[in-house]
Amino acid sequence: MSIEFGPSQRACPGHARRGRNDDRKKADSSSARKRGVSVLRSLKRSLRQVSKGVKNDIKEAKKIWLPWPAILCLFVLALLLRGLLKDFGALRLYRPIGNGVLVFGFLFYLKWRLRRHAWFWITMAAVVVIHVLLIFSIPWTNNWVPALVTAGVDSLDLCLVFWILGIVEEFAGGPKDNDSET
Amino acid sequence: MIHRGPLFGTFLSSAAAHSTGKERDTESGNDYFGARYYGSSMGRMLSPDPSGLAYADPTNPQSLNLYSYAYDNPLVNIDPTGLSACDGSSDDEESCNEEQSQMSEQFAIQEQEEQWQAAADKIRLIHDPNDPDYSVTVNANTGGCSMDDPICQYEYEYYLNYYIRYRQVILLQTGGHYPDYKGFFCLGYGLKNSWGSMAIDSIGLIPEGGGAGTIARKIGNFNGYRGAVADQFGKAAVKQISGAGSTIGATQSAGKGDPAGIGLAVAGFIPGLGQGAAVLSMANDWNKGMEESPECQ
Repeated sequence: MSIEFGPSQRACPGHARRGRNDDRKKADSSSARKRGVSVLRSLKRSLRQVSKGVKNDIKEAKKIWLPWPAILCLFVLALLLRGLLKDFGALRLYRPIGNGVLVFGFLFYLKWRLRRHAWFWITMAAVVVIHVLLIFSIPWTNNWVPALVTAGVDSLDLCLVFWILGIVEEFAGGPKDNDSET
Repeated sequence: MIHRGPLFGTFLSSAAAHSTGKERDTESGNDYFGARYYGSSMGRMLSPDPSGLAYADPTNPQSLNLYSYAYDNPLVNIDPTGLSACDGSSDDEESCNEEQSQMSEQFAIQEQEEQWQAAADKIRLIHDPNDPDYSVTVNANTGGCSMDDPICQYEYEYYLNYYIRYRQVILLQTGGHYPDYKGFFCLGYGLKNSWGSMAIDSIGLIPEGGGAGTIARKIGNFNGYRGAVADQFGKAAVKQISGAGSTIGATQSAGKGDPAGIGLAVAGFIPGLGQGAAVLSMANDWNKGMEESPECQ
């Protein structure tokens, strides 16, 4: 690559070198800015994609309506869980464990199509560990809390895990919604 | 250490406080050691050690003598409470006191537990000999004891009082667990005691058409709050969750301080979860109702 020098630059070689450095710096900074902008853009695009996925997941979750046999089974399981926790003297953990299991049931039902991906199981394991830690570290109460409130907390929890899975799916190069049905 | 034994105590203490600083009964001349009296004229305790031979040391024959003071060696041993003496190794009177108070506490608990167990057995005997687990059946004329009889009534109240305390100890020991209630009727008692909370929890079970989600949306849109909360919390955030109409309802109701609206809205957000949470909560309510019912205990 040859560089054309002007008359003044030719007369002063030091000045010419300084000029070359300035040009290079300008080029570097503009390319870095471009790179940054493109990274931001792709990040934004990815987040938009994730948000779209989460919205679809929520839409799918909203379609679920448990039939009465499932309700009965759930009731019996709830009684068993309560009896078990009572035997262990940990009745205060009934609500968080019960609702946690419920949320994970929904999650696995809705995301079962991702079962062949290792990142899915790793992420779910991490999420389960976080939930277990929270269940044992928060001082839960066994006083009456309306189911409406716990349902709200469950819904928020589900959405949060949808977001986590969506982000991991996006950045771990998982399948997109349209080609994921296996 | 000044109050080492009864011999030195008589020289060094005041008139009121004698042997090892213990109070002397002016009439009998005996020293009060808490668990029993010490006869200073005889150099013996006036009654045997209430802890019996439980703490006897086979290598020390004096520990088998339940009337001796400080294993008959007050120069080395101390006995601040009248229970089993502390040997020479526990030189510090404070630690000896602590040791002995623990011992006496343990004995008291054992004794009480035995009494309570006996009381529980007695109650069972009086009221329902055929069903030993279902113990507080207030049936006046079973087990050969009539509640018309004042002695029987007194006995019943006396043992019932013991029995209630016994139950409390069991509950404390097991962290709230007690052998389960019996009888089909307890299901009814459970419903009776918890119908209010169960009714509120069952809202999550109402189908979406006329259920929590719809009501939530109505509350949310009532008086046209739409957008007010969006401005407050950021339009983007609300837009993000606007896929669920009920959540809009929740945020709008929250902005207006309407707890019913919030509750209904969150239940309607993901109806399936609302159902599940309702079932879990209702199972808990029902069980609690049964546990709280005195008829089921």
